[in-house]
Amino acid sequence: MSSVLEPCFDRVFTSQRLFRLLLDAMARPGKIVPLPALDLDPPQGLTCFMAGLAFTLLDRETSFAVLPGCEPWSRYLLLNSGSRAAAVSEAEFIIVDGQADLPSLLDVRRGDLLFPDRGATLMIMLSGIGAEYGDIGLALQGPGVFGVRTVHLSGLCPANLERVIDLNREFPLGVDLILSDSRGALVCIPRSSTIIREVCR
Amino acid sequence: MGYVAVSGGSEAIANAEELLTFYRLKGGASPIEVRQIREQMRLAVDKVMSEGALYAPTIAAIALKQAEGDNIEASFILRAYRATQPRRYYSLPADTGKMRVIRRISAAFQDVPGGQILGPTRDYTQRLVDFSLLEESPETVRAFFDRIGVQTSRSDQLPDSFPKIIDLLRREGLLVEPVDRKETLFDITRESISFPCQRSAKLQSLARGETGVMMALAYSSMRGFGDIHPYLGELRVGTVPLCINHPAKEQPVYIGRVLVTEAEIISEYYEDEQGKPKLTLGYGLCFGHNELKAIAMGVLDRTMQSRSPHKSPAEDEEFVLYHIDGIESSGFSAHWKLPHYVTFQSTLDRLRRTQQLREEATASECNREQRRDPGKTAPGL
Amino acid sequence: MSATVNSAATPARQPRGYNFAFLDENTKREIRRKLLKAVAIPGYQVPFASPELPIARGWGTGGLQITMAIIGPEDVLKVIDQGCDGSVNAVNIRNLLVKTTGVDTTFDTTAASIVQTRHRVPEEPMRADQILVLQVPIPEPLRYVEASEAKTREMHGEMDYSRMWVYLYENIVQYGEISIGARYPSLVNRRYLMDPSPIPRWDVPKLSMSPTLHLFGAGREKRIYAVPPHTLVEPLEFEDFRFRVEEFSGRSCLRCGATDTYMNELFDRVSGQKLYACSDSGYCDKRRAAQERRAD
Repeated sequence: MSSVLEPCFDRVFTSQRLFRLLLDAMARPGKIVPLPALDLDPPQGLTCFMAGLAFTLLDRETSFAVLPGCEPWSRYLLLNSGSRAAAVSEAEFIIVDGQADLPSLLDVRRGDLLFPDRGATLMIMLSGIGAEYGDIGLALQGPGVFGVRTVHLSGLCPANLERVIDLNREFPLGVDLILSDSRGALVCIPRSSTIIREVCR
Repeated sequence: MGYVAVSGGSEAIANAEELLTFYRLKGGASPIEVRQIREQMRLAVDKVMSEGALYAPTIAAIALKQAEGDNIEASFILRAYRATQPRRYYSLPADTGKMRVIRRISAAFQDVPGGQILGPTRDYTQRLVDFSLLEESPETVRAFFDRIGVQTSRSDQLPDSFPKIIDLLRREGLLVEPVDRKETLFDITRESISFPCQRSAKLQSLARGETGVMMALAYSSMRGFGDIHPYLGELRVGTVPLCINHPAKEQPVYIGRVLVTEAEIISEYYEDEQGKPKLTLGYGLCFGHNELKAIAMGVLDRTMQSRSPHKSPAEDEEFVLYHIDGIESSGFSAHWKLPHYVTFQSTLDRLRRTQQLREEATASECNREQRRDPGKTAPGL
Repeated sequence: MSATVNSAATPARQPRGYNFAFLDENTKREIRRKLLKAVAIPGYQVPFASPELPIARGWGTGGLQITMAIIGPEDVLKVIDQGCDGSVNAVNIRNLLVKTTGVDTTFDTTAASIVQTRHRVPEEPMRADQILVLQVPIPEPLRYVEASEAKTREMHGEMDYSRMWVYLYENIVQYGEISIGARYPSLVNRRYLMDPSPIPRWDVPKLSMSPTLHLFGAGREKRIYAVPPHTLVEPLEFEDFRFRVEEFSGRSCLRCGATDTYMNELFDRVSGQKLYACSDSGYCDKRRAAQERRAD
């Protein structure tokens, strides 16, 4: 049964702990932050880590979309967070399977000049983050990075990466990325980061 | 040396709080019962509920007692309490046509369907100090009730709904039609307002605004800073039923009645969307019996619809909405009591530097003068 | 044993009747979402709901809400007002946070994981594992030149700061110097003009390229903004009229003898003589304690 309720998720203390890790990761783009193990039972394909991060940020005052569309994921997130499922072009949070080639990524909200914070947050699941992985190496520069920081990723469709770079071409408009892999490595890349180099191995 | 590096903050705060209780009770009179405040300081309680944005008469009465009658402080206590309450439901729109009125007047027409109901009002009393209140006692109160006969209270005889005056004007095509803007209702407690502001956000902000500042702004417009000449189409005070949609019930569920004051302000006509000139409307509604606030709200709702290119303060929605909240304005006005040593030091630094530059400039000016006219000596040198 | 954290034990000292850190979880989540956006767009003011707290508007409710949204049972908290831990408002805010979280507190900047402050950045350099939360009365630097929020928002959108430059220029023409004391307008990440809160100019350079995350909260004005670590913060200046910090040369702290700190000016009660003392009381106490140890 995939659409389970997760009564065990501690919405006060686990949320707080996960948020602090998120804040640290967002403030230091490219820094790999290990997430604690979470005893959750999300539907197939959705990691416990991503589910925990979603519960930390989503509630009935927010909306989300799942890419590619996956009914069990949507149902599970709706049931456990109260957040509304919305069209990709409307949603505040987009839960993404990084491997799938997703042209509709280009439809997500980038905010406007008056309210750039209305740009979406992409929560992307990858197969691996860290030096030992890496079909893709991203050299990052910008706020939160001392000099240049390089992060290696695998399981991200290269076309999606191009789309994200495209979305973030006009700072302060853009989207912010929360990436996590199946072992609980967390990395954030806010729109303020410049991807100065992509190294494909 | 009279300098103490770390003042005994904790102790001072605790002492100050105890002193407050001491000052409240030191006169020796028996403590006021919360019920007495709730029933006999009715209008103060209503104002606190309205500005505190929570319909809770007993808690408002406690807050008034706690704040020694300071209306803004009591509203703040209630507002802070409100912020801790879970938000389970939104009530369905209340129909004020179904109001059980205790008072209802129109200044626009002499005779109106349903009649003018004066109700409890001080409007036509002489403001003479009633020294007999010094002698008020359970006996005098009993005598009063015996005389007027409690059982035959007038309000029991009034109907449960009254026709609305503005509906008469609408039927004749004299008043603008309500526009369904198809907006999602804004919730000012869950989102910060931005401009241009949605009407639902405006009305919510006004409904919990501070009576005094709203009155002052509305007054400025009536007096001449603006171009609004209001007519009080209708003012009604009474209770309206509230209902919610309950997930477990098919029909809306009745949850109780709240006392509200409603004012409909008719003003200047404009051309409507079809180009037909029609009277415009400003709407005021607040918790409790607070006629000045409802009227001021109706006037401000109308002034903010002004199409004038040169907006007076009361017509500028940003000016009005950012300055009417009593909790915000009182908090910031009072915060100047906090130490500002650091910033003041920074200001002094700039001032001294500026003075120094001035002196240097004056001195070099003198030197130049001297060079030009070596025979002249600066005074005092 | 797997290190799962789902059923984190409720800290023993949590008070009854209120949620951990006072705010309900919905309110915290909203602030957290806004914090992430603030960090992602350095210097940009993110609007947030900002419900009322039992502390008055204008008395630190923005900073307080941020602290409440980020704090956990393991944190060590320091709260200062004017640089001082013992100031009545700092005490009041610290009491509320301790009462609702049970966290440990400290006066030592280096021992804190979260420092909440009004009007000062501590003298001791802060680290990457610390967060500085600043209370902000007026988050809009352009208020100096434009009263309307709708207009200042547009000016930020278009990065149109010309009127601010004119203001500074006119300042120089009139007074020979830029006359802004605290609240010195500064450009963040070469994009957004920011009010660094009413910290003195002395503290502004500490925000730039610092290893620490700085979070700014304006409760009454309902805005959150951030300066992430290693982010450029540049006070506005002209080539021939440079930004300058406050002048304390030739002065020393009467308590610890420091000559390199921001100082409060005092008047001796008896002689009326002007004296100086460190505004950062925690740092001053630490220096004095070290001097006493050396003397022993």
